[in-house]
Amino acid sequence: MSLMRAERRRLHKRRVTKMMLLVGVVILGLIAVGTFFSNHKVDDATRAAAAVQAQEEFQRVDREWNDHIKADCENEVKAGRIPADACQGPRQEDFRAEYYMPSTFVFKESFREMILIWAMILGFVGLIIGASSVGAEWSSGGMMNLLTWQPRRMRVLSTKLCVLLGVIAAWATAILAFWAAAMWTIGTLRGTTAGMTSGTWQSFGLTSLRGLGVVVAGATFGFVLASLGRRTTVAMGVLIALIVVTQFGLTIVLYMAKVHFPEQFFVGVHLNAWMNGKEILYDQMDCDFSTGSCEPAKMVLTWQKSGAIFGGALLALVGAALWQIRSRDVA
Amino acid sequence: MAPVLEIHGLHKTYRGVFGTARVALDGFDMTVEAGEVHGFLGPNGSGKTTTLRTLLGLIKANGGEMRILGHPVPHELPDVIGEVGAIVESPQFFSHFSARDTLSLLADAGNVPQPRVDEVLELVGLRDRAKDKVKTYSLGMKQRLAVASALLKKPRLLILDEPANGLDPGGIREMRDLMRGLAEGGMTVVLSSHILGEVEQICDSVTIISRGRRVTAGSVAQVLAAHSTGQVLVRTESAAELPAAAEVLTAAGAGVTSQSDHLLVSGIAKPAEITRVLAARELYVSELTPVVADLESVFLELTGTAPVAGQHRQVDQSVVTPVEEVKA
Repeated sequence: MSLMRAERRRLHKRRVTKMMLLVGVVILGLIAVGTFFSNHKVDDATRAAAAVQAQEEFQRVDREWNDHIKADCENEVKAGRIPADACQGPRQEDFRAEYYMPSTFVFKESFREMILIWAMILGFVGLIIGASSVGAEWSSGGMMNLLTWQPRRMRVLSTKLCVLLGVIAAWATAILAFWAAAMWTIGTLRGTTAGMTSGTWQSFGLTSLRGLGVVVAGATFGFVLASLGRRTTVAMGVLIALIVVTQFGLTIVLYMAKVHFPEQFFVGVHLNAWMNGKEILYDQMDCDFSTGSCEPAKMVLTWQKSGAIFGGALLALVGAALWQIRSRDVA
Repeated sequence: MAPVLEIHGLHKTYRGVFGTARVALDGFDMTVEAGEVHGFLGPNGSGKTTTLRTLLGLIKANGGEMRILGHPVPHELPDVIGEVGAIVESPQFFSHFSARDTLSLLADAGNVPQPRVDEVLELVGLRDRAKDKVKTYSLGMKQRLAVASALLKKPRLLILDEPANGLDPGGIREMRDLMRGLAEGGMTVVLSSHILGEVEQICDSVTIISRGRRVTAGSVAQVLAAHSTGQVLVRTESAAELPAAAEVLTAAGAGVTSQSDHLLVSGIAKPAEITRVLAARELYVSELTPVVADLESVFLELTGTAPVAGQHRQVDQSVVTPVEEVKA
């Protein structure tokens, strides 16, 4: 318990922890402010004005059609250059009032995306804090100092990881609470919060839990990479290499090798599946022509499957980090 | 009473990625008795830091036995680590933490009561700078902080690697007094240092290591005595009398080496005999000084690291002389 208390204090005293949490909050704050000012409350007067504007626009386009385009179009039909049914003119249903209404924030429709944004930003914040918390300690000699006080190395590393994840999860949850409150306020002032049911809240809750999983996974990933490399920069380097390899190298290689469902090897696709519940992949190279056209083969990535892959990979990395600290000299 | 620290036949080989191997410890032995200040000496790269790190469980040995306060380590190190305070190599701390924060976090990690933090800050003279960030500290102040961190646990065994590094003369003296005080209070101190004059003044016993092996061990006085030549430096009232004095002493059975302004005399049981023999021939002594070896000369001799004019000694160029245990 004493080591946990010391680690919790140390983590909160570190500049990187404070700075990255602040950066995360500032970015979320800016997004909230931008969302607030780019949305507007829609009332009956706004709807009426939009309906009038839609009607006016329809009439303008219709006039334009009748005065300038229709005759030319019919000549083209007579000449046989375009099909007979090509000269339809504008349709009233294509000029709907909602197209002319200002953007409005519908909490029920938009909050899921906002949870995704929160998870991505906090996941990145967690990754940096996680990598720095152990990487800086290795490079500064603090870890060696600590091990002369607590020689059970695996216990030290696992305590550090547990404290990190606990702290990051606590901060992420607190920030999510403020984030949800901010979005609710925006919905109230610049949109609507109508239509929320217990089922919707439950769904948001589950998405938030999966988002918290992303945050925790980010922190764990940074921590174990920096722990294995004994430097913060190693974690950052591996991260950059991973992005470059998956976004560029792997894409080219998989498409050149004509691998079926190449997207299944990309982290981002699994992240989408995890956060959105599922991701459907299509393989254009594997068509079913029984209907007369190409029906591409489908692969469904469920959040459970992607979660198992992420979880397995992280567990393997944590295991490697623990094995390494147990067996490698501290020099 | 059982020794506080025992090392027998310690082996450590560092292996590189491509199979290269470097032997750092080659059957090293060391014993430190309770309540003494023990100097641990050796040239750069001789295995001192490897020994200390192995002792503290930071490095795994390839062979040998170690005991701290009777407990076999590293197996029982967690049981005994609370009684061992240590700094290994140069002090390293988070530069943005204050000294108080640094010690307070260590105290938390080791279940040490927080009031002890102020006690050790006072003890090492950092009380008034305790709230300053470590990055504003000089090397000497960081060294004091490192010693404070090692003292935090009120250890029975204190292991200090180059504690005087970076300290000003006043600081060196304070450190010396501190260590003597700690030893008088019952603490055992193992001190690794290159400041041999300091070691000679402060230590009760020494172990000298070279190329991973012990080359000598024992109390400081005994080690020095074992390496003294038994020579006596003799000056006469006039340098012109030296040849005559040399002749007289040689006739009396002494070995005499003539220098320009003095004689080095050996083979005489008591220095008073020299005075008596010379006075009988009306040759009067103006100086009669036993030539005593100092720790530096013993160190240089045993490790083969004495500078040679025109040569540039490389780091690993030291020797291993036959092991000698100096007993009372």
